[in-house]
Amino acid sequence: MTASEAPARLRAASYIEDHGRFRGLFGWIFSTDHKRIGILYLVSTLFFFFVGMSLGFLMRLQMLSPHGELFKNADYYNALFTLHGVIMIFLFIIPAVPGSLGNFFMPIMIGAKDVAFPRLNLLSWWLYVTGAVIALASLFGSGLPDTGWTFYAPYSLRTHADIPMAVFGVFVLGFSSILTGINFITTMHRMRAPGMGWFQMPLFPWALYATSWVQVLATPVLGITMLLIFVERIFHVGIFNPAMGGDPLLYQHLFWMYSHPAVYIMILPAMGLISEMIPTFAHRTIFGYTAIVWSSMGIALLGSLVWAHHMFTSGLSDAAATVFSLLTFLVAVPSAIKVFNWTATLYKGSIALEPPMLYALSFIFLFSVGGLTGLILGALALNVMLHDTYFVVAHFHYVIFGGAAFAFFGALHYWLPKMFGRMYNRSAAYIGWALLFTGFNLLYFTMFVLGVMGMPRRYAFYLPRFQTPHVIATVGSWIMIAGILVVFTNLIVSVFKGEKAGENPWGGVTLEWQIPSPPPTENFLEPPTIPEKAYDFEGAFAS
Amino acid sequence: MKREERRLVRSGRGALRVAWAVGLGLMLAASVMAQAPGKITVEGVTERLGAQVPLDAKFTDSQGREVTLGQVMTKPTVLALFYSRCAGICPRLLEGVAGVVNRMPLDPGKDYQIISLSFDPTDTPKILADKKRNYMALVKRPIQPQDWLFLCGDKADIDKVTDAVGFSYQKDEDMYVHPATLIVLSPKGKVVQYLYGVSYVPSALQMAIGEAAKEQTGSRIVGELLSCFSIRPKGSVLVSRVMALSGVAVILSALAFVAFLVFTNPNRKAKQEEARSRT
Repeated sequence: MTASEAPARLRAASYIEDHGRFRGLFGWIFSTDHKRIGILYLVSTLFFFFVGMSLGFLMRLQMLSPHGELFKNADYYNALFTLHGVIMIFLFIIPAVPGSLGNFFMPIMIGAKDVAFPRLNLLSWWLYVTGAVIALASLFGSGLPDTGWTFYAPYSLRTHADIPMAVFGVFVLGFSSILTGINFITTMHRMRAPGMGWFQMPLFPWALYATSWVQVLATPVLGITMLLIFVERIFHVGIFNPAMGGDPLLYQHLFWMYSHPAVYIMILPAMGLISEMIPTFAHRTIFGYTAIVWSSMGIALLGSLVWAHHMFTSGLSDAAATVFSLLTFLVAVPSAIKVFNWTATLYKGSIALEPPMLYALSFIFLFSVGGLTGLILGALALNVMLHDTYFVVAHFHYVIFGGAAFAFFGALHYWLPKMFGRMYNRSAAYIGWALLFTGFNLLYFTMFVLGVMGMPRRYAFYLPRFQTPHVIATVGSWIMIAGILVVFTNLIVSVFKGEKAGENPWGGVTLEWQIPSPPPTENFLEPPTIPEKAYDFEGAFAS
Repeated sequence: MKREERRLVRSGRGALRVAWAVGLGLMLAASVMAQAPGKITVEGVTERLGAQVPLDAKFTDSQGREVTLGQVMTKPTVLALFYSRCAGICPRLLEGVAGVVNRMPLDPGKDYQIISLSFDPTDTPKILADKKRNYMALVKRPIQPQDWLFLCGDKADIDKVTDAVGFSYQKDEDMYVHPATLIVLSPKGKVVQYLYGVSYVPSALQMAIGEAAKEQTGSRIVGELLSCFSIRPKGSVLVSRVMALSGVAVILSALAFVAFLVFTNPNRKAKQEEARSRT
């Protein structure tokens, strides 16, 4: 940067100062700036994360003693885990990464000044809020919610019949992700800066590209299902209800055709985040860029074709079961390609163990544990022993929390200085991570043990012989929550009071590090210089 | 001219907004209408925790003896409702019972007993005796014949029991549509707990039996309800067609979207023109 450019940069208002047409709160909730919308998503998804976390805290507290520390009535516990699941999955983990970090950084990383359809982008956020309200309202339609997170499945156990509204809520949420998906796809096709070819695009945008296709193709299935439910309930045409001549298997197919790919909507963007953090902190170009790109697309494609492995117990034909389990094993290939490429990137890298890097490394470890225990659950013989026990709960949390959420927290540490121009306290960040990581393993690893011991899930009470591990897990949850509180207090304080972070605190080479922090309204004050390769650290240091 | 255009655009946007609002409103209305309070029986189980099963209901056991429920129920009881011709879920339900008996630390006959009650009035003691022999063979621990009873009876008595426990089944041609659940009863015949599916966690059943022994009522446990029904592909042809068509429509529109993005890309056009001007 030459001296004459500096004043020009100082003069450009950042997106935080430039409130657009409206002032104050309205300047945020009616803004069409992708960065402001990113912050809206960030605040709202984190709000739901904290609600979900508090519910989880209460669940663990209940399990402190065999007869229930909090309630003597299991209905409250059923309500707790239903709400915890629905909120964490549909209102936090699915929208969090694409909505907040995707919106904020994807356009910047490809050298665009906004997404292709800024107003549609704002509409997506509003649909997300509306869907959240409808989904939560449907849960309280008749008494306490008690369905588990698959609350929109009519043929899972229900004593009441407010499914249409639940499906509608999930559909509105899904619609919000379709719009985000279309928006992102169009942006990446049309708005890349001149010189930014497809294979110069950083890996986070690539991951979002793959995710967007899953969202755009899988979510309409949910819409079709919803329409069919309406037709069945209003016009009494038998579609899913066997008592009216329908076919519940059809519902299961449709349900999983959306709900299984939803798992990849959660994990793919997180993998993209890891692919950003690892090269930056290993100061080395990513190993196997092309392989990672294609593995993202491969996961998106294969992940859309494996829904029926949830239905092996529902009378699927042998041929179908064989095809679906083969495809399921195939999904492991692209996931493994990513893990191997990340570790290969670390090899001979000059690793800086900054807080984001700790999260990225934890991701690799926790996600691998989650993935491998998934194989155990997939093996039919063991599944009988572990079916419906805490093992399943532990596996799920290792993949989703240890995977997706750890990547998200890491990326917040990575990009928050860019988003707000201020650096957090690093010692506090290390302490927060250590508490979070320790508490996490104490909590969820103990759940593996509980599962092997035979503790059934979804029970508010248990036999006395399970008490010791339950106490350990609950103490783990306290440590973990303490860690989360440290992490977020630190981050939030930094947003307002942190030291100035500068343009490029980590020595990153992707485009977002070329612009001021916080970024100006139109992102780039001058056309960005596009590096020949996405992660060219040698080139960056040579110049 | 320009102003008119702008007005057109603005009214177009207005119309779009109205269309949006109407569409969303209609869907919300439909979702509320579809809530229709009518009980949907297929879901199969209405939990009646604490309800009393009729102890005077008369059945015949697999040896042809006439018994009342009250006579045979002396301990905490695991009730499995099934019918012998069932080719779907019932065999797996009863296999699941044998499996959990093997893995549970409690002793059948001492701590609890099992009753498999057929809800098909055409079942006979002879058929039940065959079934009993098969399923008892799966139990790999000491068990006496009176610890796992197989009962049949006439429709009136069957319905007394199924109504009391909230288990609904429906005749479908010559088979039945029905759910799969174990129901744990106390020695005095009170409903203690429902366990869903066909594969049971031993400590879960153990807990329910413990509560039953103390005549306590358990609580509602969330589980996945499995239903048994016969698939008639004939009836769902329309649905499969709708599905296939929507699938094709989704894929075609995705392809159209890609084609649109690629072929109408201004950058691509610019590049082509550049190439043309160079030649």
